[in-house]
Amino acid sequence: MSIIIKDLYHTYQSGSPNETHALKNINLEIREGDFIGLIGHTGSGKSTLVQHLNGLLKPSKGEVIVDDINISQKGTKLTEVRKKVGLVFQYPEHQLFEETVLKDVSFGPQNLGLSEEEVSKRVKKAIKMVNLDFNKIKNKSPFNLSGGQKRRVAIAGVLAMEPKYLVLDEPTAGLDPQGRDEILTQIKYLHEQLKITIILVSHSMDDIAPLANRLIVMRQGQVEMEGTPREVFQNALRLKDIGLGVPTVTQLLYSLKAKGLDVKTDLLDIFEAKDEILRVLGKGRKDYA
Amino acid sequence: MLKDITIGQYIPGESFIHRLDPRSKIIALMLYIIALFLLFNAIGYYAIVIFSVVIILASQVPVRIYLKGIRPLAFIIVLTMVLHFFMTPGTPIFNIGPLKVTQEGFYHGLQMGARLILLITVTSVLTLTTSPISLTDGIERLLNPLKKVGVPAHELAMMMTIALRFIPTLIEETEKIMKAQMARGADFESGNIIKRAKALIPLLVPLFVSAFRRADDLAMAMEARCYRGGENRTRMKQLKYTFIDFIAIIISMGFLVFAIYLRL
Repeated sequence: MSIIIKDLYHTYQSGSPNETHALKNINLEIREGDFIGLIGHTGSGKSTLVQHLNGLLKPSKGEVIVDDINISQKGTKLTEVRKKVGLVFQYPEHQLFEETVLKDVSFGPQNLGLSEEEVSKRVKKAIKMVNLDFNKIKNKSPFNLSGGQKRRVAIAGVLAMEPKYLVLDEPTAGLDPQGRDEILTQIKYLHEQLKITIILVSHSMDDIAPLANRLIVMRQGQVEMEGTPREVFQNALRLKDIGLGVPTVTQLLYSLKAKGLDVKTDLLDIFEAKDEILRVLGKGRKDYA
Repeated sequence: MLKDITIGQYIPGESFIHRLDPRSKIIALMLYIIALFLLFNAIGYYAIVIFSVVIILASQVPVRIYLKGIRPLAFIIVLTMVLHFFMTPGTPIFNIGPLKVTQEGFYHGLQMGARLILLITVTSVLTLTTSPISLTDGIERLLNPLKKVGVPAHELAMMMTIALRFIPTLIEETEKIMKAQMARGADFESGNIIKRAKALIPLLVPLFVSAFRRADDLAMAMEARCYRGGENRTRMKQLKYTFIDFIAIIISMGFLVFAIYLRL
């Protein structure tokens, strides 16, 4: 089972003078178990693309098929699609509205028409998934939480619908470094332990590179590059041209190489890089480790 | 869907009407409205329709946009006309069941319909050709003499400016929150009235929260730039009457005099 996107075009305000072609000829397949990093500049069409994945937007041309359900076909039950594909918007904490965290997280599963038992079971599970203390937090007002907590409650609100595919649009925007790391660790856990297929939208290579197994780079409504992070980062110059660049670690390795140090440049996280630099420099000097 | 709202829409241009001082446009519009409600006979209506068409054409704003402005109010206009047709006592023209259409009613209905349509379109000439900022500026200056009796003219104008400025922002915000809740399975489109009203809670609460947050931020940003209300405040663009304003006011005065003359 997978999400298949075929020849997808999307045009905003079609036929008016403000017509904009947000997506042009997108062809993608998102397979179950993938962890996809969707990268692009502001206005490259990332957000438009992900809104097609659960039928919030309909293609102007082309098809989006989620597990054999075509979202633009007449008579398609979009709730079915939204059950499968959870979408966490940018600044999801802005959607909180209930008096208590418990009620807010219940909103999604209740809309699915589940039994009360099932709802409360899922809510408990979802709040645990985002690493919050259920008993401590359930009766608090979501408006009195810290920024990071609010965001996690909002993500729990989507997780409680138990989606197979989870799309997160810039989930770390506006968080401090600690909050960012917590969210990213959490997402990694969702993917590795709970086997949820993740589509992570970001413009930060540093966030995405160590997590994703496939990168999709968007530019002006089109897919510019696609492949494993290592493959994509081999084109450091082209990425720079788009204004995205490579992760800081990769950048460092490139700079070292340019200065004559013979390091590998296709490493993605800081630990790999450390070992590599130590290997080349000290040839096994353990006192650095 | 929400993007179709045209309140406060301004179509930039260089026409005679665009170049008028906002104060003279407001005064002229008031004179026009008085004239419109004074008129009662066919000659008067022919004259004002011609006058209005000339104004609309002179504004150089596409007629399509004016029609778009009438559409949301079409129901009220038609209802008013129909009620007048049936409810006015007088000589009957024909019957539909127990209801009879009277000659007087028919006449009154048409009159009311024409009044409403003219009122809406000519008022939109003002809003379509004047940027919201200069419009509120004009209102403020016109209300200035009332400051002496305690009318907070500057504050009112500032409130209007801010309100107009935030309409598009709030519309955008509404769409975003709607989508976020739809992604959580919310349904805004089906069910009876009570169910639909209830479905709006997940939309309205976050919308209010964000509106208050924005208001706080804006107040802080304004204070940080030493905004202290209207007292001794100077402006970058001073309003100035020119020769064309003189002409515009004379023309609308003339029209009002004509309306009064017909009435005598």
